[in-house]
Amino acid sequence: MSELDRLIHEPARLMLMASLYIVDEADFVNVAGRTGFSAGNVSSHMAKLEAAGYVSVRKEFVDKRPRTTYSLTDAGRRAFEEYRATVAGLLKATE
Amino acid sequence: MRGTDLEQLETTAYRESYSDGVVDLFAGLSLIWIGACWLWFEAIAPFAAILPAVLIPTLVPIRRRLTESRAGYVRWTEPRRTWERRQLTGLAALGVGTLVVVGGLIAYRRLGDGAIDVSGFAAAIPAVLVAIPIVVVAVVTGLRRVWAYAFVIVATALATVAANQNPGWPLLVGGLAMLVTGVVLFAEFRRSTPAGDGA
Repeated sequence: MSELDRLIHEPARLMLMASLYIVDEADFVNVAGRTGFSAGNVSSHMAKLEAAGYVSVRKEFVDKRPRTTYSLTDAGRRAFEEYRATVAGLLKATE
Repeated sequence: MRGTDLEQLETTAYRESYSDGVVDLFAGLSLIWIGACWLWFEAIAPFAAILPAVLIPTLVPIRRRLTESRAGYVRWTEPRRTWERRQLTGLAALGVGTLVVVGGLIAYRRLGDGAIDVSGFAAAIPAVLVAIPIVVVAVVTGLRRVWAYAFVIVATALATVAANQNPGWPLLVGGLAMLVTGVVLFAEFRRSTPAGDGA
């Protein structure tokens, strides 16, 4: 049985990964709104996911306003799918 | 976490992205305009739907300007965007179909030989035809308030037939219901989502 990805296993990061998995990309405001996390929480967890290569970050100006857009990288999508499979396997094993 | 849970999460997020009320405001104003034409400018009534149809392309940038600083930017997955395009195409086709049927009935009433008596239910037809695309939207989005709109329009249309009134009333009442809901939703959206700086 493969080990759980501890980076994704943290509840807030798991929610951030799930919120990005269901879209192509979303900006900071949208992610914070959908998860209900504070700005600081989103920033710090996204920085860790970016450092792991799971999330790509794009910073730009749109209509003269700064916008930070997040999306899952291919590695991030694979890691999330593996995490789901591992959890599903664990739950099945305990049935 | 099963695949269906993620699909449900995506569907919920997608539906919630329409809780800002802007679409309700637009649809409400459109129906009020069409209803008002039926009531007070009958000569142009069959073509009143053209104006909202022409304004549809402006809805996306207007909605973006009104809501994006608060709800943020999101690009849905390719399957969702394909699905969205297909629904919009279908709705546009239904709109054109509605226009053709209503225009045909009007022409039949004015120019036809009267072989088929449509006068008894003609008052309800425009409203029922408008309700059809609304039912389609309700089915595909699963939004309960859209079901309520369709119900209000059909119920008012039937009452209109019973009272032998102008077909503009069901459209006007349905439009008012949408407009009021849109105002409430938009006010709630602005209250619950402070403007962010996007950073």
